[in-house]
Amino acid sequence: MSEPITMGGARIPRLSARGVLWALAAVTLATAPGVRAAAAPPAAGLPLRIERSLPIAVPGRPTALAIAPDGGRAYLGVGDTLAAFSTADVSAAGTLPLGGEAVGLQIAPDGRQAYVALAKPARVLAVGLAPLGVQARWKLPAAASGLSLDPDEGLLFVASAATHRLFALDAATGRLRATIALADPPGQMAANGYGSLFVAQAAQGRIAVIDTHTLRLAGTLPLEGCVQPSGLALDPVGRRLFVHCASGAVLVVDTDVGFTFERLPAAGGAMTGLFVHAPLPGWKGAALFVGSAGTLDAVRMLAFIRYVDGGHRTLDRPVAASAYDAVHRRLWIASPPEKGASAGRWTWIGAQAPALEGETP
Amino acid sequence: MSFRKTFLIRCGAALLAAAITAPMALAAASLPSWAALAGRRVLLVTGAAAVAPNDDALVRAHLEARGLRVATTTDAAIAAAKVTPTADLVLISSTADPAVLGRRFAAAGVPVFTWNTMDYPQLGLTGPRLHRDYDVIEPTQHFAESFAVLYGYGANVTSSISRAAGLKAQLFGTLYLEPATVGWGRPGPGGRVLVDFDGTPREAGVFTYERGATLADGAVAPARRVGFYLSNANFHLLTAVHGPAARDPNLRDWYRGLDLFDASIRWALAVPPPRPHWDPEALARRFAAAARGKKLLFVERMDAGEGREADRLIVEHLRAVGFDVVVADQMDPESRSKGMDAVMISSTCSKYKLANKYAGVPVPVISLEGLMADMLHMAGRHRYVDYGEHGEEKESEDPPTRYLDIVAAWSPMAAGLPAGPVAFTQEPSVLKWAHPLPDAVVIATLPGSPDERAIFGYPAGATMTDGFVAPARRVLLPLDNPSYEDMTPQGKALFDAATLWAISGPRR
Repeated sequence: MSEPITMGGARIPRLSARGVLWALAAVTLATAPGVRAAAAPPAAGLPLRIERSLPIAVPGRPTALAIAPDGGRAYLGVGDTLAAFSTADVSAAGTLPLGGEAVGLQIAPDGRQAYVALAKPARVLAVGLAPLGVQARWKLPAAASGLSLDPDEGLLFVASAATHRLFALDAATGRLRATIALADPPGQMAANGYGSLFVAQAAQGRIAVIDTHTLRLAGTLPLEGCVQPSGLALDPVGRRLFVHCASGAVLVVDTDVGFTFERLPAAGGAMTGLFVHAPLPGWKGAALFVGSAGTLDAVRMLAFIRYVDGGHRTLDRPVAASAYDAVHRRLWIASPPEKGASAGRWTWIGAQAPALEGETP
Repeated sequence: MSFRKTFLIRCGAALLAAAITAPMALAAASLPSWAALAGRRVLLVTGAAAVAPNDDALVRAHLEARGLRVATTTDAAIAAAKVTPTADLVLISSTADPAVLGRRFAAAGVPVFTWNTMDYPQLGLTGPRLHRDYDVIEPTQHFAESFAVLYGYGANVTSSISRAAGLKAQLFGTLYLEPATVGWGRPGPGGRVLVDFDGTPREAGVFTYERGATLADGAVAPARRVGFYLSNANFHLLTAVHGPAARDPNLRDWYRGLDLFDASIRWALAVPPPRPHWDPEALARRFAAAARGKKLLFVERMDAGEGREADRLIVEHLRAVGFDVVVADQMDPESRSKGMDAVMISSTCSKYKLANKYAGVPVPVISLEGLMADMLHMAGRHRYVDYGEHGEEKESEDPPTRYLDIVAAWSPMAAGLPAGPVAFTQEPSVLKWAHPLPDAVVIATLPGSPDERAIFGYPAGATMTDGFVAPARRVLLPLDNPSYEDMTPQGKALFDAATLWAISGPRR
């Protein structure tokens, strides 16, 4: 089983033995004659190409990655530090000791501040990005496993897989606003910015919906036929939640009514997801899912009611963290160090990455 | 308005709502639960060739998840088999080819639930003409309509399916928001339309036939039948709501598609009511037992000309049965009905003089005059289209007749008479008719005129015309002025059975 990965959110749990059985059962069902869509083979290769691959200039194991909103800097949790990189030449622009390994990394929309969640010690750090420096350290009731920022509510949601809880923190002061108990460990989170936070509940095969006004569990969304939902990609404009299931499918859910109206084929295993607009010419949008083993799946948006399999490909190395640079339309992937190496490796996937000096094809 | 007044009005409204909905809840409970149906065998008939995409496997998985045992077979296998496989329920998918299936399931003695619209005529569910009796709307040829059919209307709110599914007399979302392929059918008068499109029951999205009901082709349904609006690949789009939105009752009422499907399956698998038998003596005993001590207001035109004797005989009969009959003149105020258990309106009354009275009384109303159908909210307002007179000189092209056509032999209102023509009067006579909304149960039509419904009843809570909700049962039975003494024993049994049904509803 591959290592857990993060992508701007929570660590994704590994598949248990029971989960594997469920996944196999689901795949069997999905490939039975007559099953629509999910029975179809994956579409041809994902048209996003691997553009560049370079060693990461800072040693250590990457754990969390985020790109500044203006596309100028990439921030990587690597080892016990936070490292900044220029997206123009991938040179290291600074490092900041964190005192622990980052399990979640979020950047505020203004690009001036970041939030880093640590498991040990159980902290959230408010980090100034220009210059790079810790502004505040907020203690958590339990170890963090993921982080989500809801800038509209001014809230940080910290997942605690070990305690099956979410901690809602005031993003300005770090004050603990609420503790929300869940039925099972919280997975990836996604906030829509107008009242709802969606949390993957892998063990229960459903999505928990948190009311970000009342900070209470507002309901759950069933995901029929979805075993171990892990990756979430949210299109808040289209009000669509894309849920990757370890059993090998992506469900498209209307978040207004919690209704799954499309089921598309995908690679199996746990993944993390994100939604991007216009990643390729002719694509209105895409939900991208990255698996720790190097699998990459895409759902292509044709219209708000029409989504198709956008393709699938497997990278030649595992993935530790990933993030999307919306300015340069490029998916950044940080891979763990290979055996004997001290640093991991960058991979960029996209349609139009600039040439870089010292690149490795 | 004072608090006390507001409080009393609210209490009254709550009591009325409770009175109407309580029996609905009981009826809803009458559908068996999935647990009670666990292990029932379902035969899913699909296309021989892989029709892609399709949701047949999803339907199967859905029903199996609810405890049913589903076997899948193909149209070709059915056609080739010497004996049709047995099951407790047959599902016919739209992927099956009607030409291959033929009329294999038309006479099946087990319930049939079909979303194969093109097969409706072969099953006798609709007439044979495409576009008029049935049709399939699909995005390629009917692009605009394929969006319009995302909106269904709850045409019937009192059937056990409607109650179990929470269907209301309003629009709801049939399928998720994509241009849809759906089928509709126009069932015969023995069918019940639960959901329609474009606001017309002539385009029924969901309709049923009870066992013993007369099908559109004149045959009698050997078991329950359901037509449903689905097509090959949209089962997964049947609407449902989850999460925070499910707390909003308006949203819950909108996303009813899957609830309707499930309730329809449960209804099809449920045990139908026992077949009634023609037994006038037993009917008379039941009628007497129910009538004993009940107060019935008989509204007539006192000292009427040609109908005076008929009215006297009717009152005499009702008193003999056990009713405490109070006779009122057509000009008496509606307040005469206070304290009564039922109201019967004679055909001697002048519609013009009766003047909208008794339409809203909270007790059962039996109208013997079809021309009052619009006034009593039983039918629309278009005279000779929504209601009329069959056999009346100068007002009808139809000759007088002495027959009615029983189309709901299963109903206790049919008095145990078999489906088909029954002599209602001894001599050809004028028979009134009306065309009720789908919430009514139609018992008899006029021969050769299936749209002219002679006997029907609205349950309490039913949606009547003008948005009126039946506060208690409502029955139309055509009895022209001098006809009572001319009725056959079958006709009198229908009179008794219809009146018995009217007074047998749940009391407030």
